[in-house]
Amino acid sequence: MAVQVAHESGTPAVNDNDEAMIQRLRDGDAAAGEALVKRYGQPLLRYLQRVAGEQVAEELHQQTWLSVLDHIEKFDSASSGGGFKAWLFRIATNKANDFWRSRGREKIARDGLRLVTEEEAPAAGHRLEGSEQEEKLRRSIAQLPENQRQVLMLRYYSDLKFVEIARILGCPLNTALGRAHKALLKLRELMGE
Amino acid sequence: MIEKLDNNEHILLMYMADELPPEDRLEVDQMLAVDANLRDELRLLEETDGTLRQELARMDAASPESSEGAAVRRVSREIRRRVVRSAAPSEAHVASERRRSLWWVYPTAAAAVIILAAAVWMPRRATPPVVPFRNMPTPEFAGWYAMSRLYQESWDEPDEYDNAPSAPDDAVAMTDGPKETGMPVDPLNQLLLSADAN
Repeated sequence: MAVQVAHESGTPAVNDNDEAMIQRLRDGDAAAGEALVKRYGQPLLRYLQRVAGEQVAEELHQQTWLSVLDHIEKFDSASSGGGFKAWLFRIATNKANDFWRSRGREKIARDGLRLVTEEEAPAAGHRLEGSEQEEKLRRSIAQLPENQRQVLMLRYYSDLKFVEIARILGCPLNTALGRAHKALLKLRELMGE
Repeated sequence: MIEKLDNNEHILLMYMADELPPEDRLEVDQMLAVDANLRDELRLLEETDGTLRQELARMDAASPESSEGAAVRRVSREIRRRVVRSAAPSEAHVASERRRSLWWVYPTAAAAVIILAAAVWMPRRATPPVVPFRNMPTPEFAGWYAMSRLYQESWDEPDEYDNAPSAPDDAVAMTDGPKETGMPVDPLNQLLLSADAN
């Protein structure tokens, strides 16, 4: 996959595919790392915003990239189905899951043993002046069960195939498809279509 | 691939995502051609999917570009900082490399000390105490001196010689040494005493 990326420091645009950039990053080329961030940073951040909430998305985003840096030597694009992008989104998904698990424990501790349905409220700092439709969509996505939300958002923001998504989530293909189908039906119902 | 999918909904999703192999896609086309319910279901899925994509794109466009761009730039800077830092060898790393390259020094020094100590100590341990010249037995007692050396070497085995005769009877008679002390008699000392007395 050749993508043209304009570099911040004024160096010529890089037409390297992901594997070439990864090799350059391993060799200590910081510019290659920055180019990868520019290539995938925004969709990754938006994915995390939809899945984990906007308040923690940036922190999870940073953690994801630092994890990539820490484990870049171990990454093998040949054995990793979906290549670097799938690996990147898998790390991000794991970070989001860890966040939700810890948040779930905090909720249990705070509310006693009563599990509270987690309804993500819009961030206080995010005053959406957009359409009512957008707000409705935001709330609808937040109301989806976590596993359904992950499948759907992975589909839209990573543009990975269902087979790769199933691998990222560690579930069979049919399970991933079932979650996607239920999520679409639920959203249709919530959006009032 | 269709045979691996559980139901029509899954097939339709894969069809909609264009992830079916050509032969399976052809088969689904044939199913859609004859099944109106299947066509309706596909249409609903496509409408919902399309609406969702549209609204997500609008939502993303509405979110402040500056904050997202700033987040991405912050990560870029952090990555650059870490890559540059990891490329430069740290002082601790250099010192550790130096220590690693001289790993053989301490064991070798320890071995040398041990060998030296053994070389000095072992001969002393094997060599019997030197008798001062003036206390050396006179030729007349050379024979008994040799005998006494044999007794000396057996000092480590007190049980065997506890009740041994302190010296041959002639030696005792010549020296007039102590006869009955109740203690084990040292033959060499007895000879030396007798030599001194003479």
